[in-house]
Amino acid sequence: MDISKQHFIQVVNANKGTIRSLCRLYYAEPEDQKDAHQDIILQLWKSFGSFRGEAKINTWIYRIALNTLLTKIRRDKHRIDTEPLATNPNIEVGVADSHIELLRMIIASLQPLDKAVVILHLEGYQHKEIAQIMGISDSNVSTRFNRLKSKLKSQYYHKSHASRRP
Amino acid sequence: MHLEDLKPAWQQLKCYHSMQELDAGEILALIEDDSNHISWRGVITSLIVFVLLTICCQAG
Repeated sequence: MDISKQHFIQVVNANKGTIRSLCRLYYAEPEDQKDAHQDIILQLWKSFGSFRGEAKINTWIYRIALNTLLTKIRRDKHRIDTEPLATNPNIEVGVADSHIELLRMIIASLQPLDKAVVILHLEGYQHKEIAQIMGISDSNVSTRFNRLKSKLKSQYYHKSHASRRP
Repeated sequence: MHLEDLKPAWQQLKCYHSMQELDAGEILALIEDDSNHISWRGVITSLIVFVLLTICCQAG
């Protein structure tokens, strides 16, 4: 095996948790997750040669993986569990038995690009960095983020207050 | 409920998925298949160009 392939496998191995988590948050069916995983690996490999280490490897992985997922979703024209947040009946405060389950439910209720914005925020990226990774403007990220935050806030405020009433 | 509250959950989720072993053979097969595909495409493209040039030169 040549050195670049060996190095590539090491990089993928070090970031397999991120790649798999992204596939599982974007696709519900195991078959779709596997397809998405293969697409991401291929795209990473194709751009691996041109990666010069200017960005952090983690940031590079996110950029390629999220853009591959968004392209795949556009191409496939079928969206898995991406109902608008306001109409999703599955988001109930009491239903989530753990924070991971809650995270899955919230992400599942978002549109593909909004999912990416939230995931990158959870990873600790600033709006400017998210804009660079996703190839959109800073103001687009801020607008999306504020809209999401207020939607979540009102959703959970109403749910939690309703559940407290006798 | 704030998004910030979900940051540990995201880290946990990544950690959970990183515990499963990576099938290096599968990744290797995938990237080698892609490399072969690319090289075949290159050979075919070169062949077509060569045939077209040969035809053009003979006609001239």
